[in-house]
Order: sequence, then structure tokens, then C-alpha cells
Amino acid sequence: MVVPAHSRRLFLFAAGLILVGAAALRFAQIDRRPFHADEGVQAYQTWQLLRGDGYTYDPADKHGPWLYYAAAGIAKISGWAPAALDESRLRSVTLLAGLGTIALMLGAATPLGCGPVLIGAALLAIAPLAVIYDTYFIQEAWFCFFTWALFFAALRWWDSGPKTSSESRASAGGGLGPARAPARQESRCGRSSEPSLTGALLIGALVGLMQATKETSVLHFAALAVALFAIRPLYEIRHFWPRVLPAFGMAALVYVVFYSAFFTRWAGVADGLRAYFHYAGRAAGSAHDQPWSYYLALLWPHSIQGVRWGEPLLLVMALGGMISAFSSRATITQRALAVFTVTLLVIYSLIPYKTPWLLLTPYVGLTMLAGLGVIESAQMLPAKFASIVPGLLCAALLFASGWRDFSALGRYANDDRNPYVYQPTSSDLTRLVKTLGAVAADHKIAVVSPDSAWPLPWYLRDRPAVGYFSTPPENLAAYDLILFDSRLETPLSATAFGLRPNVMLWLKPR
Amino acid sequence: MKKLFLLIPFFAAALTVRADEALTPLKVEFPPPVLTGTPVPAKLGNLEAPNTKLPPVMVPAGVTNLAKGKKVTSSDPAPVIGDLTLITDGDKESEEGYFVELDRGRQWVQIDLGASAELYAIAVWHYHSQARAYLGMIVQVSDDPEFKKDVKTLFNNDDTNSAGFGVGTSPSYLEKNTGRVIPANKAVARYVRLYSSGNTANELNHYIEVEVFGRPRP
Repeated sequence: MVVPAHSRRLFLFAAGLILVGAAALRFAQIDRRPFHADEGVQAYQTWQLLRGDGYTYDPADKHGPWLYYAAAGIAKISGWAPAALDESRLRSVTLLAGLGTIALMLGAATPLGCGPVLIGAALLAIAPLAVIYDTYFIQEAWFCFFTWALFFAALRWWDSGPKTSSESRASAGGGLGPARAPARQESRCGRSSEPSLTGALLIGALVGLMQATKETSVLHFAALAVALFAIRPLYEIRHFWPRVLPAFGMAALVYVVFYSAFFTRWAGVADGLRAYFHYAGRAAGSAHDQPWSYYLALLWPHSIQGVRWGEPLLLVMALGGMISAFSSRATITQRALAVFTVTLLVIYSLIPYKTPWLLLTPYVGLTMLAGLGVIESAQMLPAKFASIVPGLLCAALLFASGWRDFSALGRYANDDRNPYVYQPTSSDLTRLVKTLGAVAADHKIAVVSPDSAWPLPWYLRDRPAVGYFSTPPENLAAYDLILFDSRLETPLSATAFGLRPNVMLWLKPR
Repeated sequence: MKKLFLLIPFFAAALTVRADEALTPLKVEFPPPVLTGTPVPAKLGNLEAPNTKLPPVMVPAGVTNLAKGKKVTSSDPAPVIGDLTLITDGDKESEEGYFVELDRGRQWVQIDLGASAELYAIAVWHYHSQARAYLGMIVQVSDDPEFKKDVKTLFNNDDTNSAGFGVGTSPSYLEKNTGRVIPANKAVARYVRLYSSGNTANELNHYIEVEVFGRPRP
């Protein structure tokens, strides 16, 4: 489909506006919250790497090395000294990935349709879940970016091999309105006779980067495989075999580079695979276990201690998008998107270990499907409504999401009644950090907490005399200040500081 | 004349009858606890004993909750969750529908008892379905609705003097179903004002119930 120049300019203008708006919203609240415990751990690791302490992969409790190297690399390029690292700077590293994901969506206008990607990108730009986790210094934003980059690259590659005549239905959409052609034309002029080597290498690199970001990438690979085989028969894989080896080689190279800490610690290469045993054990029976319906319940209308939440319109429109993805008008990318998103949701719902940020990658798919649902809603309506209903639905979706931002990013940004955050660090911790900042550097501080009161070690990283204990040490009297975790004890005549929901730190001077 | 002097102790005794009348521990009705889980025991060395029971507030006969159903005003006149009448409605449960949520930062609620009274204790429940402590908590009484004169401070844990009422020395405490019973030391006042500046879990302020125990002035 040939897109008129004025439509292209309009699309580019709208896309630019969405990206600028998304960046502004994320920057505006980048330091709204103190570090989450997990962010503190990642930041501490990055700080150690940046100041020359090296990197050692821990298969038991850490994710892959990508985030640390990416942050340390950006810090070096930007001239940030280790001591100058703070929440805003480190979170800007993941913000880049979040904006990259929106850009990827906008770049998929050809196979998905301009209307669906514009609506989807706009929804993602203001979605509380995306705004929060694009500015969380954890692996998820980058993991999400690499996943969707792999999805679109793999779709393009998968669609580039020789096809049977039965597949000649389509791949590309286009136009700012609903596509009404009964059978889509191929968007790319001519199809290469065999899948490209460049595409294979790009896919390999993305697979390696995903693995270097989070070990749970295998779940996304599985979902992608389901999506690919949903649009092309399994036996057609024979066309791709010649390119699988280079792709695998590239993936292995990226994996080895990162897990060996750039060829300085080879044990990390084996540890990276060993991590799967730890994660298999953690998949069930942990404190983070939730019912299968957790993610659905998060988006379903509900109330938590007086605060109303939910994204029912997004769910309905995404459902509409999924249904239309299986209509005769749909492109194969739209169909793959629906299968991929649903498979990811099913996989994450079946795994007992659940946190809100794990929803980020499937949520991106939901926004694109909702965009598709909005555009395709016109197909089900009489002509006189078809021109206004999609616009109204789009406005309603954006208004609902923007309205939710007031609660999720404002009043309840750091409240555990906010379903998008998980075990948030209390804003009150900044009061403790300020209080301790006024204490002489040579004063000894004992932190008695079963989990080291993260992210406190990050905030106290420059203090030379801080001891962390899971139970009170024998020489407690040697410390000038003692911080007690409220899960252990509640001493009287101490000052209370919030750490997390249900957890406080009691500061007791000696 | 000498006999007259001998009668003085009798007159004095008669005048202090109200002060010496029989006192009994104040009985406060507590809602059922919501928090679950048992704290991990830990030896605390020479720290003060944890969970020390506060001494009971002794009250004479005729002391009742004067705040029940009384008018409440606030620095946040339009709370997003709940309304101000919940503070004196007699319900002390912590679930949704029982508490009022005031805005972020320092906020106050004020109860008008209708007439000046002799106060013995003020019991307050902020929010007890989660372990948290409320910050900058100050409880004052006065006969002045503006709290500009004759203000008595009964409780103040604002240890940084952020509110400007002086450095508070009252302890921080963990919110529980037992709330906090603050002795009023027979202060005479018509208005009770309670301040807080967020809590250790979030920046918001909550009230489930405030009870003011006292009796009308003689």
C-alpha cells in the first residue's frame, strides 16, 4: 500500500509527539520514589563495577549482566563518577529502553497498521505500568525492549523465506484509518529466496542480549516460537536451517562476552546456565507466589482499601484486537502479535512467582492489540458511526489511562495500595538517609535486619563503618547507632522510619 | 478561735473530694486485631524491653467518650477516601469504609466537644491493618477553636520540631488495634486537635476513630 506523503508526515508528527510526551512523563517522575530494594541491589552492583571492583555473576540471586554494563557504559560516556550515581541517572538508563520500546512499536506501522501502532504507542506512553517500570532500575525495561525487538525482527525474518501460495495472504497494513482491503498486499517489494544472513545475525544478537539481561528469556523464546508456528507451518522451518547456525553463533558470542565479564571470568559462562536450576526452584513456593489470576485481577476493576483501580476498557479493546487478528483482513504480524501476547500472559499466569513488572512485556502487546481493536471496531459498525466511534474509543482509552496516572504516579506513587508497584520502599526512607547523613562518618552503625534492609546499603554505600546483621551481634554495644528491623523487634524510645509495607526501621542511639 | 483552726483540715478535705474520689482504670474497647504474623524473637541486649505495657489511665466515675458523634473539622476538608464523620462514629475497624484518608504532608483533625470538659484521656486509631507509625503526631487541647491561646500539648513525637510546636519527646509507636491512649491529665478544654505528617508507609494521613474521655465541668 502506498501511503500518501501528507499521511506519512502526519504519522511522523504524531509519532514524534508520542515519544516526546512519553519522555517528558517519565522524566517528570523519575525521582518520585526512593529506590526499591531490587533497584538498590542493581545500583550497588553497577556502582561496584563502575569504581573498578569488577563483576561476578551470581547465579543464585541476580539477573544477567547486561544492565550493569549498560549503565556503567553510559556512565563512562556521560562522565558520571561512581559517587555521582543517583536515582535519576541510573533510572535514565532504563528510560532509554522504555522509549526504545515505544519507538519499536511506531516502527511497526507497516506490518501492524499506522492506526493501531499510534494508538498502542500513545497508550503505552502514558500507561502507569510502563511509566513506572521504564523508570525502575531493574532489568525489565531492557528485557521488554529486547523481546519486542526480537519479535519484530523474527517476524520479518520468518516472513522473508519462500512461501507456499496459500500464504500469499498478506503481511502489511497501513494507512491511518482501518484497512478495508479484503486481502492485503505484501508490503515489501519482492521476497528474498532465502532468509537473510543479516536478519539471522540480528536475531542471534537479540537472543544473546535477552539472555544477558534475564535468564527467564527462555519463556519469551517459547512464546515467540508458538507465535511463529501459528503463522507458518512447522515443516517450513527447513528453509531457515542454513541461517540457524550463524544466528546461534551470534547468540552464543553475546552470551559469552557478557557472562564471562568480557573474557575475565570464565566461570560465569557455566554459572549463567546453572541459574536455571535456581530459578526452577524459585518458580514455586516463594514469598512472591500469587494466584494464576494475578495479572488479570491487576487490570480488572477492583478497589484496594478505598482506592479504585483497573483497566477494563484496555482489556475489552485488546480482546477485540485479538479477535480481529484472526479475521481474514488481519496481517500475519497482527496474528503473531495476538498469539505471542496471549502465550506470554498464559505462561506468566501459570508460574506462581509473580510481580507487577513481569506484566510489562505482555502489556506492550495488549496496548498494540487495543489499538488494533479500536481501529477494527469501525468494521463492525454502520458507516455513519464508523468514522467517529474509533476516535471516541481512543479518547476514552487515553483519558482513562491519563486519569489513572494521577493516582498511580501521584498520590499513591509509593503506596502499597497501588497495584502497579510491589513492596515499594517508603518515601520515609529518605528521612532516615537524611538523618544518617548528619551523623559523623566515623560513627559505627549496626543494621539488624533479616534482609539487610535493602535499599539502605545503597544509600549508605559511602559510609565506612556500617555492619549488617540478621540478628543482633554480640558486640552491639560497640555501635553508635542501631537500626532495628520491625520484623525482629520494636524497642521503645526509638525513632521510627519506614522501609517497606509492614516493615520499619527503629533508630536507637547508643 | 483555736477550734476554728482545727476545722480547717475538714474544710480542705471537703474541697478536695473531687480530687480524691475513687479512680478506676479507663476501659477502652478495642477492635479485633487485623495484623497477622508473629515477630521473630530476638535478644535485644541492654535495649529497653519491647512491648512494654503503658500504665493505665485512671479515671473517676462518670467519665465517658465525649467525642462520639461530635463534629469534626480538618485541614483537608474534602478527603478523597472516607469522610470526617467516620472519626467519631464509634467504629474502629481498619477495613475499607472505616477510615478517612487526608492529603499528604501535615494535616490535622479537630473535634468540637460542644462544651468545655474535664478530659482524662484521648484515644486515637490511625490505621491498624498494617504495621506503621504516624509521624509528627501532636495532640493538643484548647478552649480556642483557632488553637491560638491556652493550648495544652498532650502528646508530641515531632522530634525535629517540623511543626514548630517544640521538639517532641513522646515516643513513636506502632499502630495496632489497641490504638494509643494518651493521658489528658484533667485538662479542661472544648476542642481537641490532632496533627500528623504522613506515616512510615506512605505520605498520607489516616484516622479511624478518636475518642475523648472526660466529663462535664462541675
